[in-house]
Amino acid sequence: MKKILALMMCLVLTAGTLAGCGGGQAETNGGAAAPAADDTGAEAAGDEAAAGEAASDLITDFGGETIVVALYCNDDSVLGKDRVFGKIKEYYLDTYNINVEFVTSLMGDYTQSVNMMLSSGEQVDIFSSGVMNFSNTVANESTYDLNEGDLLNNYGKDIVELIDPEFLKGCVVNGALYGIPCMRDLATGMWCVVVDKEYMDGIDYDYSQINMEEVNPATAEDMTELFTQLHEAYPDVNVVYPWNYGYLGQKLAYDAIGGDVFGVLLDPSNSLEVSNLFTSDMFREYCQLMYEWQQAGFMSKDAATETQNGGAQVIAGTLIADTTAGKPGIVRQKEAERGGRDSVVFQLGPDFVASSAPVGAAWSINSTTEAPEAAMTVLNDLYTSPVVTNLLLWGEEGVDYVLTESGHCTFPEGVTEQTVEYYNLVWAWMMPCEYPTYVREGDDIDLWEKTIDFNNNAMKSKALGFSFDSSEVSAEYTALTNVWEEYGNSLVFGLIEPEAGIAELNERLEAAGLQTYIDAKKEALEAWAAENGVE
Amino acid sequence: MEISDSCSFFSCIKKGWHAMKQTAKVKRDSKKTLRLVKRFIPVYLMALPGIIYLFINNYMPLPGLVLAFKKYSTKKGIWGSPWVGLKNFKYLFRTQDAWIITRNTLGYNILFIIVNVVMAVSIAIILSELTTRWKKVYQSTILLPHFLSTVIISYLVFAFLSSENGFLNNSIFPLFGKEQIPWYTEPKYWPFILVFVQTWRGVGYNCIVYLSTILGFDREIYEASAIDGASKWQQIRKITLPLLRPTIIMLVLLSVGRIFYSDFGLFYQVPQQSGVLMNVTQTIDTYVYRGLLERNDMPMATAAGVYQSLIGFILVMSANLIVRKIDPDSALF
Repeated sequence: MKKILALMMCLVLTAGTLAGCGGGQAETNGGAAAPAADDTGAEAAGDEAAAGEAASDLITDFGGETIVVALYCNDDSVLGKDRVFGKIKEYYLDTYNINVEFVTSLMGDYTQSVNMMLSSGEQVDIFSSGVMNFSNTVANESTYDLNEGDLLNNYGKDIVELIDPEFLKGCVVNGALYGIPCMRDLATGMWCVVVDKEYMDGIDYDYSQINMEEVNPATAEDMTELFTQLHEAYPDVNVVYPWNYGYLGQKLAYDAIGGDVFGVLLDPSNSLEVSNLFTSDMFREYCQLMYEWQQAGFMSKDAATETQNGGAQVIAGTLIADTTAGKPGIVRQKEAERGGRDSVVFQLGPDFVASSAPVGAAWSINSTTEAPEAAMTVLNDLYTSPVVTNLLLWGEEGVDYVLTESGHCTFPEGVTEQTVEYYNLVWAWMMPCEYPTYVREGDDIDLWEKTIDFNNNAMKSKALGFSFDSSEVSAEYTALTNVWEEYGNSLVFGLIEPEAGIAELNERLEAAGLQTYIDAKKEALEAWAAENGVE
Repeated sequence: MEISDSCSFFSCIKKGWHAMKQTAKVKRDSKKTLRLVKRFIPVYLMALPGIIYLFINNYMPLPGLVLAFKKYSTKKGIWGSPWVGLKNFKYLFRTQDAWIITRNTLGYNILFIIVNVVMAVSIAIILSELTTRWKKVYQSTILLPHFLSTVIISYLVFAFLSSENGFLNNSIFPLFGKEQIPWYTEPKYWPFILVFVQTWRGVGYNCIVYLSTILGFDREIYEASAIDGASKWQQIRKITLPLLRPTIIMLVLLSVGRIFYSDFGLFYQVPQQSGVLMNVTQTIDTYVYRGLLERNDMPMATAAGVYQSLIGFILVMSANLIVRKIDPDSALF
């Protein structure tokens, strides 16, 4: 009797588990079936469109082709997401008869989820190759050559008009155009220090020379002096948090060609000589300064293990100043990050466009896309159409935002940041291009014109457009990265004595194959310079 | 509960299989074998979900290992990508780091295995001897850290060790007039800290299996030995430990198989990614992660996985071989 009972129990248990599995499977199958059906429809339509192509030169009606865009975003659980995406879809259907679908993932998950889609063959036509590491994405042959069949000139006319060819050149690898630069602040205001005004009031700082709306040029000595006073007045609060070693490129105007710090241009606007950053005066002086600041007690002893960003520390009341990359509108942006606290921004370096800036957040079309023309058309409007970009950034007019008389964007009456249905899905700089969008209330109405000027007037690297495929020296790269990570934070937070620390770092880097790596870069850069006629 | 479940599950299958083999050998009667198979049908049915899971999760991705020998192109797909031989493995052995990461991975894991077995068996024995009604509370308390995420554990550790606000440096040491210790920049303390944290976290979980095995022992043996005048200590040494031996061997063998994998969270999160400590905290997993984080190079990551599984496989096979030579009954297979 017992046995039979046991047997029945087993059967029930097993059946239960299997039923559970089965149910789940059916559901996912159901989910997958729907897009699959769409696909076949789109294919048929694509064929029709192809037939139409013979008649006229350019396609204007894409016959309901489906194009999938992978967006990286700040908050993908925004309530009104489906509604707004529906509106964008409507726009594309009405204008081009293209069925645009969006997949979203958070910044931190983006690389992994798009990689997954690319390698599993799931449909994704447009994605940001820059966020996923441009040279690696190109090396994986995931990107479509936009010059093929004159695709960009035929279907991306507005993009051609919008983007300075010099920046566009930045996405060219071996003669093929593999992406479109993200149009935002491509230049960086090097070495900006953002100080909380409340503490400056506390030491009776003289504001007569200070512009509260923009960055103020300053020197390292000025900062040391200011910090000394602040430290005396507020001995219990950390004065400055210069961020970790990954942000060194926002302070020193070297050009990390190829996207890594192993072999850089020390004088990027004048010379194409590849040098070792870690033996340079620039690097030594910086580490020396940080060491002095650490010794003077301006910085936290726990800085190397700090995981909160500067803004959060300021809000928490444990920090007075942090560093950032400057750009037009930076003061308001930093104040917003700090919960609306007034701030003063100093800039210690020049404005600079690094060679990797154009590819930094570039957008590409998947090499396996079935409809490159449709994808290019979609991308074109993602860059240039005020309708699409404003929907994406702000949502629906009248529902999620209204325009003020001055042309700024603000919340409709009775709606706040907390209650609005569509807000902050993406920030302006996360979009392919921020220029056609409305400016937030509080910003200068000509913010985007200022940004364009900022890009154009900044010091530019001579290697703009150079990209480096490090796959031949990947063993060295991995070893070098690990060594730099071991020493980086100790040096940039002044936790170890710079002379000895830098010597040791260089010794370890040499052992890890730094020279081999620099030589490989040098060779690639020379070949690139010869090909592009750069002296 | 996974381990205890799967262990009893394995031994169940093993016993069934042995019984069948032996019976088959002795009788060579196909009808009898058939009857035995029938008898064990419920067991096989119970195993079915596990087997399906194992197949989907562990066997189906195996063909993907070819990626380690290829230059990956999403356009051509995994199968169409060109072969590059052993190039993707090169980075694992290129530099002096190779020695350090191998030493750390193996050293820590050997230490963990030894300390874990000693601690888990001792605690299991102590718990089994306890008669108070608080027993369950003790057991749950010991088990609790296992359910904490490593990120939380890393902050618990940080709360103790931080220079600015740490409990040790700011509350305990001043009481004894001791100098502050900058824990996160002093590598020499970390082998101890890591072993301590790992044991604190894992011991409750590890002792469950031992405890359940001990509770399954026939109490009559203990009663008989007590009548013969055996002390508690003698009982433990002469009865509990020998009876526990097969379980210990099985669990150690299972952990030897994973000796080339390190607990990523423990080595990455708990030292707060402090660079200075890397000499004593860098393991194969963290090295690969740090090196490939920016590049997101799938073939190289796969190569590291292939290397780890290969070494793990060899180690398990040889450990099992040795066990079989010494004590055939305790061998896994």
